[in-house]
Amino acid sequence: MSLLSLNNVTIRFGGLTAVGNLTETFEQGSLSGIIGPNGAGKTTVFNVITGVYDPTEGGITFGGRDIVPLKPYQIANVGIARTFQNIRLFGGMTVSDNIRVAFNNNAKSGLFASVVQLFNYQREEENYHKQIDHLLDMFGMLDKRNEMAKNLNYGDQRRLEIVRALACKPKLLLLDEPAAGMNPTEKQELMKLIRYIRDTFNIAIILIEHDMKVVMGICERITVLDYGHKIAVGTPDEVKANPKVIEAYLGEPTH
Amino acid sequence: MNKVARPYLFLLLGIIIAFGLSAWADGINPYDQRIVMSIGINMILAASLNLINGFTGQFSLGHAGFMSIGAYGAAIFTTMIAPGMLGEVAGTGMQDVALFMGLLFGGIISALIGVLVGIPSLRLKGDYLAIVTLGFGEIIRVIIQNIPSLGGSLGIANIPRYTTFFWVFFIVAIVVFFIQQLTKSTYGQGFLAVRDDEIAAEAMGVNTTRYKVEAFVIGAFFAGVAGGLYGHYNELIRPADFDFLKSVEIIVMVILGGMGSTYGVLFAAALLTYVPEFLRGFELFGVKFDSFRMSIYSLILIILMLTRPQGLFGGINFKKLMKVGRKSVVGNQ
Ligand SMILES: Nc1ncnc2c1ncn2[C@@H]1O[C@H](COP(=O)(O)OP(=O)(O)OP(=O)(O)O)[C@@H](O)[C@H]1O
Ligand SMILES: [Mg+2]
Repeated sequence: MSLLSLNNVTIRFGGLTAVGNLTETFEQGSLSGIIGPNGAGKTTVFNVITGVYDPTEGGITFGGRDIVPLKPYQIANVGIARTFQNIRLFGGMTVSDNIRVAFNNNAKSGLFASVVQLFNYQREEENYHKQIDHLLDMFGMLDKRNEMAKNLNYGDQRRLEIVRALACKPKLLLLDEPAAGMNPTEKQELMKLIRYIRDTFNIAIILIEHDMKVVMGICERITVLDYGHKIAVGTPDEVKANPKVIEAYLGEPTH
Repeated sequence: MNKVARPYLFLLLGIIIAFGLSAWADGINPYDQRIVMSIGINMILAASLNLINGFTGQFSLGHAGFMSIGAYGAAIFTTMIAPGMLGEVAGTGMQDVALFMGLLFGGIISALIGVLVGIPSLRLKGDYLAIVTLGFGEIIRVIIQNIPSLGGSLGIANIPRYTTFFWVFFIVAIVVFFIQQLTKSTYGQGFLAVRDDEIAAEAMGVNTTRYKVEAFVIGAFFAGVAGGLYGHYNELIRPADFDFLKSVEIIVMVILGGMGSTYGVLFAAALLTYVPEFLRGFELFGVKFDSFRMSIYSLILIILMLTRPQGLFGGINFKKLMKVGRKSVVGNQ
């Protein structure tokens, strides 16, 4: 059984079909890419998977379970985490608290236990901080733990978004243009990082990316969208050689 | 262990201060007493509104409405329900019990109405939420005004004066403890996440609706308690005491203190309660400030907002400041 299946998903905004009849599956532990020109509907696909929008038509299952009726926070809790194309950190909170938000949903301590803060609370809290420090250490950001998120440099902000998503312990991680705004060295590091995440956390990753070097370099399978429709799917080499893809990108017929 | 004990020591300190204040303030003249009492009640109102507006980022303009529900609820309890339950309590030790139960009664009713109002209206954002909560406050006022058994616009008079300095500042200490602990906890990070970015919060599994309603209900509860304290000090409550301007007054304290900074908000509550009273008797070069004290009050607000738009205490990373302080003491290792 596939981890995530989109079955004939269509999303319309008024008269505009942002995504049309998309059928696609993503496997456990896979590293896939979604590419396509600007406005092709890539981010919209992420938004519909994570429940920000409901599909106009079609269904989505995750681990065999229909997730269309679920609210965004419930979808996060069944194991789908994401980052955003336009970074969405909790700017007024510290790096460490940005990550701590991830634990609020499995926190056994409810409202009143969190006020009293006795008994198991302290042990739980220590456990969270250990996990946070471990994650930050892994991504070389431990020294920034008490920094306000909004004061981080661009690269660290992108990295924190990924760390924060990982703290949610997802089975599937959606990355929306993580390399945007990075220089070539940072991009190299990011590629290493994404592979590392997939291997250490053993999760599936779907990546939206405009930088072909990055996508072709790390994705095992790529889906190409154009005007909301899937025009190609396959390995990086297959996709690169596909005339429809070349046409979509270069805007001229190849035949 | 230190980390566990420290907030409790602060709470204890707060309670000791409440004792100290009540010992001191019992001896001062009634006019000054009233100011100290108002400061305490406004601290409760501002700190609790800060959970909604400052920490959770939901702009509510209905706090005076919740205060009035608590005030009427508590007054009804002590004047009508308590005598049946506890017998004659005035002047006996039982009056504190009656007050405590009355405050709880008023607070709970206020919280329940907070749920009813919160669930539908917290779907709205920003200006829309402000307008709806403003409308709620006014509706409550008009409803009370039109219920003859609640005294209409004349209100309820002859409420027994059970509120003491100790009660007021004891509850200030409790509110501060409650909100500080909650917003520092892992669970409490959800409130801050909702404030900073709702979409990102949902994407991380935060049930944003639940957090918003919870903040609203906790805020409503404490506003209700503050209302009960007010009624049992003032001995008279009228719908006009809880109008739109009262809500604005509390909002200004929150904004001036710095959204999300509990101590800043307490300070602003004290300052903004004291300054108009201080100006009342202030004289400089033979000019009496009494007649234009509200203009000066407004001027101070404008200057403060221009120079510190984030509030007096807002936007300060105390954790980092303390670290830097400690480092400079220890020297660079
Ligand atoms: N909430 C919305 N309301 C109306 N139209 C929308 C909405 N969200 C997206 N669209 C439209 O849907 C289309 C697809 O947008 P989407 O953001 O998914 O593109 P994208 O492939 O991510 O593009 P980019 O590479 O620029 O990020 C665009 O035409 C966009 O204007
Ligand atoms: Mg996009």
